[in-house]
Amino acid sequence: MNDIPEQQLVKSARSGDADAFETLVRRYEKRVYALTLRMCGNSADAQEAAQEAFLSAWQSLPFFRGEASFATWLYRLASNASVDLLRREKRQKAVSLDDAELTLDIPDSRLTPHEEAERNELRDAIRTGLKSLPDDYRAVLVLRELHQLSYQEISDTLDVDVGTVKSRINRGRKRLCEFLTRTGNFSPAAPSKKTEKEGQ
Amino acid sequence: MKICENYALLLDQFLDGELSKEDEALVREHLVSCPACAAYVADAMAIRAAFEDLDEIEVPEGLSDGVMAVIRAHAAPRKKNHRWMKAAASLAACAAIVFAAVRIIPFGASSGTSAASAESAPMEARAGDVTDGVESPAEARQQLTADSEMSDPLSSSNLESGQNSAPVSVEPFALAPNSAQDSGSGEAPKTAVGPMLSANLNSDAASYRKWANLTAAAVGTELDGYSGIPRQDDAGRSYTAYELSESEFDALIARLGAEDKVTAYDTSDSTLYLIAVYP
Repeated sequence: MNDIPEQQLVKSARSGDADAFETLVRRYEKRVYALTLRMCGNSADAQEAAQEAFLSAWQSLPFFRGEASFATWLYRLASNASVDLLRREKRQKAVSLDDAELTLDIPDSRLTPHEEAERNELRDAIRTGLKSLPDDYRAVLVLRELHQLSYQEISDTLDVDVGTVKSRINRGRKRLCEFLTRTGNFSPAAPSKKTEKEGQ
Repeated sequence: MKICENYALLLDQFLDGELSKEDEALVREHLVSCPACAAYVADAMAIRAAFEDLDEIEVPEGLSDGVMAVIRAHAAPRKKNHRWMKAAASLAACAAIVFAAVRIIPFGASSGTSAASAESAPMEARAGDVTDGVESPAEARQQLTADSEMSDPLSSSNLESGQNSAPVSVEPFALAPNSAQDSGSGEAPKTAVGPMLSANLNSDAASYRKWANLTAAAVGTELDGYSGIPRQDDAGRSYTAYELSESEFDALIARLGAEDKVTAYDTSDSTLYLIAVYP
């Protein structure tokens, strides 16, 4: 079943083949969970949203016409499930800033212990910063940086035009940089040439 | 330090490899002479380098199993708002079957649902067999009922700490405000097909003889009193599905003058007609 092309699996699943759908679920569970984890900010909600997305996919598969790729369609369901869950539970602001379960201490052999510690610190700050962003900005950044989707793919996933993707990425990234500067992870930039001139 | 306004969007596209070679060269040239824009690019690169990889994300055990247990137990979602999924997610796959099984109890409890009742009987027995920690379907349902109150922080904490709340009056799987659950006390749904919804779980377009996409504004109050189920279409848009009989469907379409919105599936054996209402 693992070697079967995705298109074939989708076709079988559409006609009610649960085994085919299970293969798709297992193939995509990491990518879907990664998206819901970053969108929701904690593992319990992420798991719920991921399961909702898969169940929603099973339910909606008969209506999937293949206009977008299956992955794109699934990411959209996952993103929608996350946003729905956040709205429903209004948890976004209640998420603890030091959510310990998000910490992943996976050593990177290419880095020195000091570099690794710095990277982990920045990684934690990025997670916190992402949580502080509006859902729309967070979604584009996660799809871009974690799933490495192109602007067109993000546009298909979120059903917004590419221009909107560009501006959300720009604003989201800018806000994240500002957050990381405020929290001391990025050095405040040196004064610009213009400011130096004005200060003289 | 502010980045140059006319380069703001270009810098992100540069970072994301979305620029043509010519524009890329232009940005590169600009970065050499503009420390502010160069600092932004450097920061964004640092974010990318520190961003976790998909490989580093550990999927919770049982995620796929939970999904498949629900699907295989024929309790696949008819309703998007699976409040029970939180509980199901925190239990092992076998427990998910319990939740799937008890999910259909409310259908069995409502009037005119002989098919659903017949379906629920073996599932309850199965739930009893595999349950570990939830002793009976009734108890599992009680837990589910508590789950329906998740918006209440108190109930939520009770559930998460493994305590069973007292049963509450809110029905967890009511399909709509006018669902079959109200049939004992209030006005029964106008459509006779409402209670059959669970039997048409995997219905696709071919399961309907005719299909019409309408907006809520166009429909107005015409479908008030009918049971609807939330679904998502191919594009991920939410809509509410109303399954009607032929005469109800035709009468409604005629009243709304929406004949041009109807798609007919003449090859379908179905006797059901669907109105998809978009917000």
